[in-house]
Amino acid sequence: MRPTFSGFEIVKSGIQSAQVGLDVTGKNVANMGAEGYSRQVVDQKAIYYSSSTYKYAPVGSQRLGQGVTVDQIVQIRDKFLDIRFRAANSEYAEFAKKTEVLEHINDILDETTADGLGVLLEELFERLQALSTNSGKIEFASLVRSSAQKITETVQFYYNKLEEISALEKENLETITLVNLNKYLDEIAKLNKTIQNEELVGNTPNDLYDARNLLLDKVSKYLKIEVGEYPDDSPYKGALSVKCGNIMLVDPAQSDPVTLSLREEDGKLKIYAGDEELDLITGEIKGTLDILNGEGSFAEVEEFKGIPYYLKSLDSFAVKFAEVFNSLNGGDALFVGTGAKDFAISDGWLADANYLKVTTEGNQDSGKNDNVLRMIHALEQKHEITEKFVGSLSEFVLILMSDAAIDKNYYTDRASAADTVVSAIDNQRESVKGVSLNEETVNMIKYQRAFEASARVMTALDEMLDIIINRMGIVGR
Amino acid sequence: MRLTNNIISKNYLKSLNKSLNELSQMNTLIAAKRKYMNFADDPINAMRAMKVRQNINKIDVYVENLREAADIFSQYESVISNVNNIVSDALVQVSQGMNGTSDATARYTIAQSLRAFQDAILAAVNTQFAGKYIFSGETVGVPPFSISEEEDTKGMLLYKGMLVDNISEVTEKRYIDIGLGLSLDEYSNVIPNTARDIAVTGLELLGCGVDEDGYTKNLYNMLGIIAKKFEENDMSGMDVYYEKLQKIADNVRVQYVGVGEKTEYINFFLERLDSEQFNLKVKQSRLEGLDLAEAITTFGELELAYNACLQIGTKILQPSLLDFLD
Repeated sequence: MRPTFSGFEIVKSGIQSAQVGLDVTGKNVANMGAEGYSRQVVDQKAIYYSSSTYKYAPVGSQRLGQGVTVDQIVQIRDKFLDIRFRAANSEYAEFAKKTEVLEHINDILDETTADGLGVLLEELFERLQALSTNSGKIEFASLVRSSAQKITETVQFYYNKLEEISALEKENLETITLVNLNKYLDEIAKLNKTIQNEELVGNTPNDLYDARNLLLDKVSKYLKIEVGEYPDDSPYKGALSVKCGNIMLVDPAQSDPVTLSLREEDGKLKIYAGDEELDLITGEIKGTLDILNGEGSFAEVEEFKGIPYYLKSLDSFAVKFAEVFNSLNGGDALFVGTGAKDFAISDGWLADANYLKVTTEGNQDSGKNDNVLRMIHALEQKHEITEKFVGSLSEFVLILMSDAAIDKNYYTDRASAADTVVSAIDNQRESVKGVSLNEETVNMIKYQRAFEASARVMTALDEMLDIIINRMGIVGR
Repeated sequence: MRLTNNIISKNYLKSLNKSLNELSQMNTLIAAKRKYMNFADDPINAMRAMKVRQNINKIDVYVENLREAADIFSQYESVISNVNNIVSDALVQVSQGMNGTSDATARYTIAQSLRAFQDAILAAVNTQFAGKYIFSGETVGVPPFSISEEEDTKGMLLYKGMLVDNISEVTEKRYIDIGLGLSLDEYSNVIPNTARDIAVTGLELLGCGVDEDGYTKNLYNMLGIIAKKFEENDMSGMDVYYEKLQKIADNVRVQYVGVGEKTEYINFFLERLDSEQFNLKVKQSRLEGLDLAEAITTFGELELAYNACLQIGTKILQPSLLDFLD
């Protein structure tokens, strides 16, 4: 026996699920531009009645099911693309960071369109030459002195500017990057708990998944992370773990995520997760630390040429420059200072331009120029400026300039290649999870029609009952 | 691939930005007429160009040094020509004085004019040029010649305080760097063939030391001796003195020719540097300079691309099925 109102229930489920479908369509369109949103689809299923499991189920020929149910609303997302996106994003962020800072370093050192240390060395050469043909004349001697002074000031200027960049990057790392990162990790841990609770009561918190995925994307910019899931029988089902290297940053077994902090050890900056040093593989933080720590060829094992490399190079330059010219000036120091930071011309020279010895034999006014020629020669000659560099002073400056330029060029290329990869993966991801207006319009029409059709069936059923109730058995009335 | 509106707009914005970037970059390059603006844009060529620039600047310096030397030599030349004239006059005067028809008064007068020649020669070799005593060898800051006031050598010529008759050879060197690869020996002295010696001492011009017969080889001193003999009207051995004076006069002429050779060397070198400079400048413009015709064509293409990109923008982002619903 078919229950009288069974048809109404079936049609009602059709009307309701069409409404839910339209709701979801509305939500998709509304969130089309929202960052991190994944499109959602209605998972509809026909209700199947099994007469063997239900006590009062109709038996036999009337086993035709009981309408439709909205099983769940699922989001469309490809986890594998998420993993690929995050890996590429970390790499891109590292290169982009290095490119950015190297650009600043280049702004300081590059003499392609501006004058710098290299040009000043040429000027000193020129003025020493003029002094060599006009030895003994104070006006030429003072021109040499002003050139030398410009060199010391420029070395100091380079040094201070580089230190400034280093300080700004460090501050940025400490007060913005790490603060943000800790906040993100904290939010992920909190979302883990909320999601677990929601899932326990049988909900599918799609929007919370999106929020958590977006945070993971953001974290992946700073660090290379591995995201772990838990199986259905785990007490942490629904939560995600976040790992960097061997260290768990977000561990559902722990109540709070670890806090990341910046520490200085043996003159090197390091990131600590709690009390353990974090092994950064790639990511923006790795890029920043390389810039802040990298000693290039000054390190035992050649490493990235960061700001310390340039600072040490300037120190070596200043020390060698002072050593060379002081030794030529017969014991009277022309230059003072222990490195680039306090590199300056001596008080003696500052007071008297003729402090520079044009000759080592007799009277300085005699017009002999032998010592000036020695200085010209010293400027051209090869010196061991660092343990690994033998060459002239101006070659050293040129090498410094080209080191920064070549690295910038290299990392610009790598960043742009990585950017292409990130964009490609992001497009693929978007192609899976993004909202398509055409699709949603089709869905809209589909659900609207489904609704109309169900309503029409309802009317038909109603009319049928009308016949039974009002028009049956009234013959001859 | 499933395309969504977001993908289209994201990609579109990316391309538009790229196109605008390229356009702006080209614009900057054209304004600066350069192939690149930063070392990092083209490190290898920038490095080469930087070296070329250094070499050009160096050559400028060498050219400046050579010009200075040329100036000195031309001054030197005019002084020698003066001295040469004086010597010729002196020879005429001396031969007149030796003539038997000259009496003591006439010889005394000749002696006076020889003394005047001596003064003129002294003034000539103590000439300053641009604040430098050009005949002072390596020490251009001090006047080279003076006259002895000592009892036994009174009136004799001194070079930096030494009697010229006691100086047997000149070893003074004053080098300038003209790009021959200036190098120093183990005593930190310039190796001669790596720089140009421009030292000129008056000694080469006037002569120094004494010859095998014990006569002075110096013009000033010789004139002094002859003048003295004329003053005393002592004609003994005058033939020898005349002969020696002629030898000294020959030396002056040799110097005259020699300085011409030195100037020629400098001019030759200047020309060489000039052509080197030209080659370097060609190289520099090849490394750094922008081919404007090509660049402006590229700029036009980029501009067109950007405009096209903008025009497409208004169309690509618009329609969806939604727009066609009734």
